[in-house]
Amino acid sequence: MNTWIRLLVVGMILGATVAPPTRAQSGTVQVSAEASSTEIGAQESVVLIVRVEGRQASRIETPDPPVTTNLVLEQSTPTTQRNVSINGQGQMEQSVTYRWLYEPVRTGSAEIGPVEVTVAGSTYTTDPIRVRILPQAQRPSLPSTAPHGARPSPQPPASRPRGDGVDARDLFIRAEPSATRAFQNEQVTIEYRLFFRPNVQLRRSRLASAWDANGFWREELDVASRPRPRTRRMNGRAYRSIVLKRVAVFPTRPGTLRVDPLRIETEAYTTAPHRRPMQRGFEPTTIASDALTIEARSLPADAPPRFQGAVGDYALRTRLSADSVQVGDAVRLHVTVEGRGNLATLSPPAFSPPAAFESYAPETSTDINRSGRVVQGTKTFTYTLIPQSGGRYTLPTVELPVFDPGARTYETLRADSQTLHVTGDAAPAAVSTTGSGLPVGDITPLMTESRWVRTDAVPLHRQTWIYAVMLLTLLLGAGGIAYRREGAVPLPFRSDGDAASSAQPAPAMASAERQLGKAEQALRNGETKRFYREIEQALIGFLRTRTGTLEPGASREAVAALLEARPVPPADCEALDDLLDVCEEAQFTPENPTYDRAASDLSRARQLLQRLDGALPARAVADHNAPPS
Amino acid sequence: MRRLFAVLFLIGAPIVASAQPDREAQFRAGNEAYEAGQYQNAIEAYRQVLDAGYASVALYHNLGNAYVRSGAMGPAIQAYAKGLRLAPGHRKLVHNLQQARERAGLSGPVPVLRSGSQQLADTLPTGFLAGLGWLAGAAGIGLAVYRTSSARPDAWRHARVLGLIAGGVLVWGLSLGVSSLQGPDRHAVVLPAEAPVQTAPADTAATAATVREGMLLDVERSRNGWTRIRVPDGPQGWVRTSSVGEV
Repeated sequence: MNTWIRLLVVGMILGATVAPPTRAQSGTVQVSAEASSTEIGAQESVVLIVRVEGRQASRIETPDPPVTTNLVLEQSTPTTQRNVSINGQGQMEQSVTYRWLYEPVRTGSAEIGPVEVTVAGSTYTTDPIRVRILPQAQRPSLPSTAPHGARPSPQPPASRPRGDGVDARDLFIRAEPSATRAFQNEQVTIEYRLFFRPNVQLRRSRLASAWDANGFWREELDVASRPRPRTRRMNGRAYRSIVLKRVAVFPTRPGTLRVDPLRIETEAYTTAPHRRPMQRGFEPTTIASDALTIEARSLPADAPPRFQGAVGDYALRTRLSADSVQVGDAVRLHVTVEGRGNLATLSPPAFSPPAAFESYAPETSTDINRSGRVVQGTKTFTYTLIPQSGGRYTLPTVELPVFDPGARTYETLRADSQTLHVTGDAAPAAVSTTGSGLPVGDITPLMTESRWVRTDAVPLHRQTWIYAVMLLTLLLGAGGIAYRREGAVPLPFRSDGDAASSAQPAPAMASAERQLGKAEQALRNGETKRFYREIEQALIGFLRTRTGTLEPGASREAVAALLEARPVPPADCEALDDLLDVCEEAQFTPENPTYDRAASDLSRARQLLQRLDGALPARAVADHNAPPS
Repeated sequence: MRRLFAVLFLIGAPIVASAQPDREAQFRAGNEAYEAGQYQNAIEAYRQVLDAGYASVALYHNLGNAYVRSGAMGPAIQAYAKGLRLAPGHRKLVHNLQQARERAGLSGPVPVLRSGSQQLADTLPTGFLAGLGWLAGAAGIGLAVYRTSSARPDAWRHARVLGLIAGGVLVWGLSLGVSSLQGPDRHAVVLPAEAPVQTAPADTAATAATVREGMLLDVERSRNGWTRIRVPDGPQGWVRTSSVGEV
């Protein structure tokens, strides 16, 4: 039985050892740090492996990830693996292995700084490790899929001598994956099981080469430290079987991904009857499982908003550290995700606290249970909230979109909303703002004053009435102008009296004035006869327009009769008669009057018109124009 | 005339008084829900005001904030962009729009949604301009009618009369031009996290590109639940109309 325990514990110490490890050793404790590779492509990753070995290895404080240059840490929580073994002298030894995954930033050189590990109160420091990052084109492509690696054979290997006397059918390792096709980030467990015939014994077993699963996030699962072999029958033969290694892998990218075979070196002893007597005893031998290939598929495209790659079977719950706090006191909201899946890479769910709360980035704690056949556990995100004003607040529901690989659908997990009472007055604000008063890195507070506008209003240019009103106005104007030009009727807003007093007298006097202006022009030109003709027409025209009864070409007698019937002073009647005589005489006699005489006559005509204008008011004229009864 | 105003006041006042508190109350309810962290309720309240046919700069600002707090950056960007339609260059809206774009993973400055002439048009009161133009034109026409008579049949051709009429019609026409410039732009914002751009309006068509939440697209036309868009400096294609929101 001791042989199997030794085989188990030695075989469980896995990990790539390409880079020479740096060591810090003191007494019975040995601390080493190594990189999975010191030369990687720009699209590859490197694993830092820190191994602590010794009798006191159980009293270790989990180390912090080291400082790096040109490398970025994928997850601050390391994957941890603990092993207990018994050495050849029957002493128990322990080892703890921590792994961090780093992604390169750019090509060139990178460095992983020293790691400080505290064991039983003593601190050990490893040496820094240099890593060279090459362009991806200079790196070899991934190994092609081995035809036999797609699925473990249900049959034992064909009978073949190992050269060491142990038949391959009597001693072999089988790799048993839980699935050979999986979605990206879906959990697949691989179990490496050793099969041996009852007549085979092993000792001094150890890992023969690095085991790796490039393209996967890996989580080691616990296996029994003192396994009891179980009897299993295969192809009609009885075997004893123990689990060497159980690991959960999560594809980090789609495609055909390869898992290395698990290979151990051991010393085998068989009591099979076919062995020759000189071959009796333990002999070195190497046993390896088949390599595996797993087809990783991309997740469906219809991912809900805010989906961040969570794949698995999860539940979500929230809890407040207190249901009542004072303004300015911190309260913690614990958001716990529980279930099966890659908890290590799970991102915090989106949570936006009310604007009245000051909030901080969540603290994360992960508790992974590795004792089962799958990785499961809890991951808790603790948000610290500080209320800035009093009131009763209902915190928004925390939501986590996940992909359920079993149902092949997305779903959004929702936790119950939490209610918090905040008492006290508002804390003084300490918000970082720009010079213009805008908050730095956040949106502005609510606006409270609103000036409303209609959103369903038809634009002005699409309304018919606006065109109709303008067209109607233009048509009315055109019609009015035409009507006024033809009819010369009084404007509708004027009374007849207004029309008589202001419309008719003005044209009569104005017309007479224009006529006198023409006479003055003729006088300046020396046209004496035309001068007097214009004066005569001005006087007669005034009377005709003002009275409305004098016919064109009326005789002097008709003029005299007209004036007699009007309240015109006799002196004015005589002056008019005299002036008309002067005009007739000047037009028909051969000799012309002097300029002064003519100017005097023009002045007399103007004065006479002024008097007649007063003596023949428009209303009186209108009255006298009335038909005789 | 006084009687007419009195009657109009008696009819209109109750209507105004009943409509105003509804939207104000909804707006305040949205603000209270927001302050309490109930962002979905706040969004519902703000949406009800919009559905009632009212909008304001503050409403779009607060609606965008509620979307940001809910983690929906596409609708938030749409709300801020619509607010900027009402108040071009509003510094809070511009600031929040930039914040939402950053949270959506979009880089670069806030894209110009409206040209300079459109922004100027947005500030002009078209109704006032149309009324002013009509009044000037009508005054000119009335003066022309007044001056015209059989004795002076061409008096309406006076320069001042014609100038008044022409000026009025010009201002009136300008108001209509401004109104057409104020019309909605053919821009849209991507609402979901990602949306495929198909080469034809069908799910089975080839995917030309994928647009991300919050990206601003030029809209060409829509039909049968699909909208033809053009990614600025990028490809053209069809997206589901439900995947984009016009601004």
